[in-house]
Amino acid sequence: MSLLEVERASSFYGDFQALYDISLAVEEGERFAVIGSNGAGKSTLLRMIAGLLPARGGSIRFDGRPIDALRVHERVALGISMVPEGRRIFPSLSVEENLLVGGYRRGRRRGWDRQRVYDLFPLLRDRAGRSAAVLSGGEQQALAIGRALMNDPRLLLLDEVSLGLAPIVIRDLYERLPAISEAGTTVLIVEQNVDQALAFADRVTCLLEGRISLQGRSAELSRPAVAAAYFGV
Amino acid sequence: MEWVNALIQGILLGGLYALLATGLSLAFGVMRLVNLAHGDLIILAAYLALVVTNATKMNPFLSLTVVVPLMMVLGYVLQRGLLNRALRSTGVMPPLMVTFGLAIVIQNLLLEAFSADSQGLTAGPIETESITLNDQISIGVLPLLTLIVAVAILVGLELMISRTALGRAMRATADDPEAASIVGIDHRHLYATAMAIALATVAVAGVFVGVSTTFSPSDGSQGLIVAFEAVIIGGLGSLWGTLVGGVALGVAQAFGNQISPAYQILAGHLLFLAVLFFRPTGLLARRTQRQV
Amino acid sequence: MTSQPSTRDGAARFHVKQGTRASRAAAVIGMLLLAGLATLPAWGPPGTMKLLIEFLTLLALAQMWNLLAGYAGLISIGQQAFIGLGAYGLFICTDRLGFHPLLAIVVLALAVAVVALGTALFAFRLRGGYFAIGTWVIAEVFRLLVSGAKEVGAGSGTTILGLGFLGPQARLALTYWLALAVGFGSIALLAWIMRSRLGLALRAVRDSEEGAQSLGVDVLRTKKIVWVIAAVGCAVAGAVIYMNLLRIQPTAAFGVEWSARMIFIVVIGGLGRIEGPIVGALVYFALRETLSDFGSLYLMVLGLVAIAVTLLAPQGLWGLFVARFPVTLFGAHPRLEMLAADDGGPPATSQEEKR
Repeated sequence: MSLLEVERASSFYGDFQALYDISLAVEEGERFAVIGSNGAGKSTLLRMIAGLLPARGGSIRFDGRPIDALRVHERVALGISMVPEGRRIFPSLSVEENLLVGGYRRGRRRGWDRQRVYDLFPLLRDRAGRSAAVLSGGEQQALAIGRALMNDPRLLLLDEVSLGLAPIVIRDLYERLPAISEAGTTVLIVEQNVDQALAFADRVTCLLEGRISLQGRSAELSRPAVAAAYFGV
Repeated sequence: MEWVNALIQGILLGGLYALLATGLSLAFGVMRLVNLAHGDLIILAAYLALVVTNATKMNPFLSLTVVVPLMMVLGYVLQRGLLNRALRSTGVMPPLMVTFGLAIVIQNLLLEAFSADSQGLTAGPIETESITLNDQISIGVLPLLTLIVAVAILVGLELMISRTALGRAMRATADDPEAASIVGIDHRHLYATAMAIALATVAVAGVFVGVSTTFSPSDGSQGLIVAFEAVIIGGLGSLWGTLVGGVALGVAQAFGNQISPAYQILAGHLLFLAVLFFRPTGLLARRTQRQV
Repeated sequence: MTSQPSTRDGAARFHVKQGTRASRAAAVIGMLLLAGLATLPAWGPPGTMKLLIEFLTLLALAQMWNLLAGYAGLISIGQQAFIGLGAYGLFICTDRLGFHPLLAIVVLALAVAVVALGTALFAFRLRGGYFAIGTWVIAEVFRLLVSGAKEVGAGSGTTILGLGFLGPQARLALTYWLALAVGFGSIALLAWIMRSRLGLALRAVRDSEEGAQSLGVDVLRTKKIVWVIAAVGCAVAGAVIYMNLLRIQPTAAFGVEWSARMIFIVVIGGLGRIEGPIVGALVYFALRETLSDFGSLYLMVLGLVAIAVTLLAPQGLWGLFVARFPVTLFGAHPRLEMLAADDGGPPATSQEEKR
């Protein structure tokens, strides 16, 4: 049984259909990437899994249990944490408070805690007392990831973490991501940056205009095949 | 010396005004809700206290043990059942219309139940006791108590907001409700909790109003205006601002009263307009983003 | 009403048509109704005229609130400031200055316009809900100032006697005709605004302030213009109301109940559409006639209905109707009508623009 199962789910923005009958499965402990160009529906998929968008037709199951009826905060309690597009850290809270509020729902799970997050991102420890509003883009991204980890999630959803960041910052971020999955957390990333995605992930799904154009183990996929699926050529 | 006395009386009056304003400030800080029924809820609390004290012959301050929980439940249910729906749409209209309608309903409900007669809560000798400083200045015990309670409540709220998990959750939700839901905060429940706390302060305010002065169903509007002016004068996004604003308003009114009793309320309005014109962000404008 | 056809060489040619068949029909019916009603003083009972005066002035007030809230996004609970100013302005002009009532209205309109600009300096420093309460405070300030002014009777108010020279029948007729002008005029005013450049700017601002600003719309100035128009409208309506009532008391003239009535009528009828307040006013009066014996219970019903409509039918009764049967009676419904390549030929296509 996979940790996350999406079965023939569709999603709409009003009358506009963003996802068509998407099916995928993510195994526990896996590193999974969803790639695709702008507007392909990647973020929509993630938001649907998190509960911010309803899944029409089809179903989503977490740990074997259907979660379609659960609201966002209830899914967080189950162990699904999302790092949203655009970071969305809380500007009126300090760095440390952002982390603390990330643990609002964790209950008694034992795994990621403040110390481990600070070990993963030492820069956060240095800035613990500062207002989150004055952090740079890369620092905010680290904080957003740390905040999501404070829930000690079983499944971590990362939405376009490289957006708006300098290449060197992106590289640094991706150097730390493996530590997360090594700790046992399942990671599902959404990325426009294909190189980083393929380097990080075990398995990859490519979306094109709301449909799956390619799926497979990243090691087995050829570059031309990925390019074709990405651009729809 | 008269003016010193006016200053002192104004500060004391400001305590009551700060108390009146606290619930409004909290509701706006956490949920961006301008509750037009705020003043009428204060009067409702006063009438609740009246019913309880008439039935049990207990001291009005003691009746808080009943009125506060009652108002908290009302706040939770009101927010969860009605106001959350109004806040769901993005426009400014629905919350204003719903709270405006609510104000009218409460006012007329009270009118039907209690008639338009002025009422008062009797707390015994404390109402007239005073501490005499010299032959021109005396400090009423009740107004002093009101000021102390107002400060205590504001301190308590400030501590709650800045130190507790609930307070963090409130600040986070005020920043970004969607991101807050992603970290597991149920904003429907959180808003209702915030409203419950706000109405707890409203309950306290209602009892103090009832003891300090007479009240009738139509007094809600004055309460709303006072609370609103205190919040604006002090500055949005600051609980301390509510205290400063209330005191400033009280002092302005006391000075106005010193010139002529007819000018008391007007003096308060003029201070408000002056602050609006010269320093629209309020006397204690925050440089950082905090909403509450 | 159409604009000049565009005639640039080689480019497509088009008309901008504003009227629809329904709106033309409504305009004709409206004018016939107005003409018919205008004859009422000759044969109608005074009671009916007084009721119509009340209805028409309340309708005008509601349209002003509709203009502010529905089109400019300015939610005010302080319009009573201008109603009271209109009433006292009338008193000062007719009783103290001896003006003819018509001249009085012109004078007070100008005076209130100036005052409105002044209040805008304060009110526009606030936004949203706090703007609403701010307008209320401004109204309270006026109430207190007037209540303290012995020259106009202070707290106990005053009575308008300067119209006595007309005699009761003529006074009623004049008030009635003014009410007709004010009531029908408010509809015409809103319709005219909507078809003008101001209306275009308002709709842009309503949709997106930032977007409108980036296109060169001076958002603040647009709002101020609407603020002044609404203020003058309320003042003139207020003057007509008190031309009928004659007795002015500051707490009633500057009372927030006026706002409550205006808001109720617009919310029930439908915000942001000219037809809305007409429906709302009819409902308001119907409710009042049936429930008036019940005093505060009636007001409670009004409050509950307003809450219910806001949450369940935010477009109001007219909005519900229009959702089923799309029709624009008085508003603007601009459409682009393409002309065929040969000059002045029959229209090749017609594209509708959503209002």
